[in-house]
Amino acid sequence: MVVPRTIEREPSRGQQPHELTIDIGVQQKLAKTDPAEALAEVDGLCTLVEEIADSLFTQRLPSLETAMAVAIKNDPVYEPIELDSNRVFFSLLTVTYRLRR
Amino acid sequence: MSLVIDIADAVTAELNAAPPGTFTPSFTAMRRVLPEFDLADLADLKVSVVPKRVEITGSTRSASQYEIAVDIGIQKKLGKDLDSEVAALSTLVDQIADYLRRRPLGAAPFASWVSISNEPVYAPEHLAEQRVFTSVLTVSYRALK
Repeated sequence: MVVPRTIEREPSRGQQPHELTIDIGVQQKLAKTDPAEALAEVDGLCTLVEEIADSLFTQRLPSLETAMAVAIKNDPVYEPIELDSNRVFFSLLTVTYRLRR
Repeated sequence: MSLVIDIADAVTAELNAAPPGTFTPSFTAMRRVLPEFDLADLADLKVSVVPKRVEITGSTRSASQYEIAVDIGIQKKLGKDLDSEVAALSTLVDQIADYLRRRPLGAAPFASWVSISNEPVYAPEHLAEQRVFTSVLTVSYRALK
């Protein structure tokens, strides 16, 4: 799930956006109930989230090559309340892109 | 395995490798999905390590800088003497913080210690509603990848 979050504009650049942030939510209902198996399942999903982050940070977007990822935050690594209440893994990546002139 | 899980496991191993007498009372730390326990289980001291946050920055494409935060939860059901038990457990929290401060992680030597915070020192709502001491240390490390 990808959701736009913020747009920052610089007065010197007219209406051209300068920095954009987007949120990427990674969600999955856990299949395992055994604590050790659930831990392994969560570890696997954390690895997926890190792979997404690494990929976005090191590669340009093919459809918007003027944008460059300058920071990525993964907070929370997973949401404890969602996991505890609904057994749903929910991790949030916030990616900051800077646009070249 | 992801970097944040590797660091959480390394912090757990570092705590468990402390020489006898480092911590009073002693404990065995565990990395857990969630530090959620039945009250009966909290009769014994629980120290849980849970991944919290990752931030990636870096001006070059050749290396990215990762700042990784893990939470360490210290939890115990208390008896009648709240003041003395809270004081003793707060001392334990200080001992854990002092032990980890600036300490390299044997299982993750690529990571360097950045900071440590203790918030909450203890959760008042857990204490008031369940007579459970819950304190959270957040330890941050930096690594390049």
